[in-house]
Amino acid sequence: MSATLSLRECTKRFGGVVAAKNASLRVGAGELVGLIGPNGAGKTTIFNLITGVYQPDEGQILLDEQSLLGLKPHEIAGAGVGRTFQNIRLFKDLSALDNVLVACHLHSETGLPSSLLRTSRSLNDEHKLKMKAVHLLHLLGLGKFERETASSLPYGEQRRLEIARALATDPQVLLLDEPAAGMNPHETGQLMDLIRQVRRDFQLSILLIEHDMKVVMGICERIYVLDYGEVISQGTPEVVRNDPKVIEAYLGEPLTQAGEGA
Amino acid sequence: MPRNTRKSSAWRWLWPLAVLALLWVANPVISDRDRFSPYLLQIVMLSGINIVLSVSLNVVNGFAGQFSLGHAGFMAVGAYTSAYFTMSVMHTPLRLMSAGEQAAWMVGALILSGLAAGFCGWLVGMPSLRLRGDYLAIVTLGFGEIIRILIRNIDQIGGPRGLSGISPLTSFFWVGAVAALTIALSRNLLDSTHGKALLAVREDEVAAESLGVDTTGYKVTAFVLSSALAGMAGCLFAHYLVYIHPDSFWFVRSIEIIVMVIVGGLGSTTGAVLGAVIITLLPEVLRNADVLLADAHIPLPFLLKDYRMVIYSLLLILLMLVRPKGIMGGAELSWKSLRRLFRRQSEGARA
Repeated sequence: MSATLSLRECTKRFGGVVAAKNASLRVGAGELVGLIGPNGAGKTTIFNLITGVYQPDEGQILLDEQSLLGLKPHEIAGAGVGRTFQNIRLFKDLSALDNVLVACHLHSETGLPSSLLRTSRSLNDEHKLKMKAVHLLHLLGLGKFERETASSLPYGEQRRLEIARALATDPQVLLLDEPAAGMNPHETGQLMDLIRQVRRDFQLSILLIEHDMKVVMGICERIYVLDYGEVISQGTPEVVRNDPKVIEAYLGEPLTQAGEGA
Repeated sequence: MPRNTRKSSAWRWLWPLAVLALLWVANPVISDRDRFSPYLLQIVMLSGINIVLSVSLNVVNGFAGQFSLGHAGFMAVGAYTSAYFTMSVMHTPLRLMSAGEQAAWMVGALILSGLAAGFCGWLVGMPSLRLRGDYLAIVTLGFGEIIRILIRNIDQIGGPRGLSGISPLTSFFWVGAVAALTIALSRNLLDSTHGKALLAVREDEVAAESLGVDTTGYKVTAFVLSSALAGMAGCLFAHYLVYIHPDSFWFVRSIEIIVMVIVGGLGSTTGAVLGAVIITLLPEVLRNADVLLADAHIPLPFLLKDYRMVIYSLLLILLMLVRPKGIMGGAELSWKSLRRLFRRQSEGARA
């Protein structure tokens, strides 16, 4: 179940700083799209706009036909947008299983009163959710960490657990914020396999922020490049790689031009 | 799986019935003045009421991670509502009533106090639970004081004189039953995914929201549940002591309940039970020390009467130094955890 996510000319200002400026981007159903840009380009701001942490000053955000504007973050998660965070935000003191179970609660069919009374319906429901969580952990290769507290997991596994947790909400669109940050080349290779596998198994649309060009160029079908909150380039990895504007954003203006300008 | 659930479903209904039966049988024995000293009974009753208070506060302060300082206020709402109710509606004296009639009145008073306090919890929680940390503490502290001052100024419920002549409806059975109910609710909550969502709110609100947890909704629900139970504790309290005074619900009382939760271990239900019992017992146990120290005639440049309160505070400080996370430290005491502990120890002995 994948959906189309589109941002239409979104602008977000923080005082004088324009963190997103007329940014438009679109993730088609089942597509894997990359979002890159230098530090401070506004990539995470875009994620926060989509997930309702911030509201855009102008523009429209659509999940298929449904507008996400004005919805609270938890309602957007319910609508089918899952995310991970740049700096891992696991529930540190809870076990790996409980971390995933929190996300399963969205699909709990029984309300709080019947959980409090421990009716057989709620117990059956709990059992179902638990099986689902265990299944997800195994699918992401975290089966043996089920009972470990999240903070005791190795770094790479914490990143995986964050993805497992986001998947437990049954998202149609998954937003990954720098999943390869801090990983060694071996772990990065595994992560790329994982992202491909997740997309195939769960039939998701994925929007990926990443600094590791090997990852972005390796798995994304299309890439958007952001600089000072503006989309300055988009297209296939080939197109983006050779776009002079992108090279300028990352490396600065060519020396000769700078000399002429002065 | 089906077989497993069927077996557990029989157990699920047997447990509470067994507990109620046990309380029912124990009730006449414990309430008998010849067999059980009234002094001990009072300690047992107050421990039970304090268990209800600390376990319910733990749901907000421990599970949801919100610092509420107004628990005594909700207790006051429950106490006054139910006392006013039984005093104005119940006209037959208790001794002319059958056990069934008494039980019906008690249940009615408990439900009413729970509803009233729960409603106040909702009223206070709705706006203030959008605040975080210290702000919530200040708002709840203010609420507790507002309640107390309001009561002082309402003449119909005694005002500053207090309310006397409440029927002694509370028996050991009712204290035990409400305490058991509170513990069961708290445990069931934590066992469910709803409880996990509540813990997620405590751990990281932004992440919890991103996973579809309505953080404000969960905080308010936990707060309402907790206040309703505090109200029921107030009802038990009023109908046990048969006299209530606005100052019995001063904010120091709220702090006392927080101390119980923290001594037991924030976030642990069994810890809250343990904390409530210890904090109720400690000043009583220390009375012996008081007598001993008074007899010793320690030469002091000033007059010191209540040595026990000094020792009491020193013990609390000592506990916080030795076990900063409380006695249980967030863990639960259960058959399973005990078994695991013993297994680990025997393994350690073998190695």
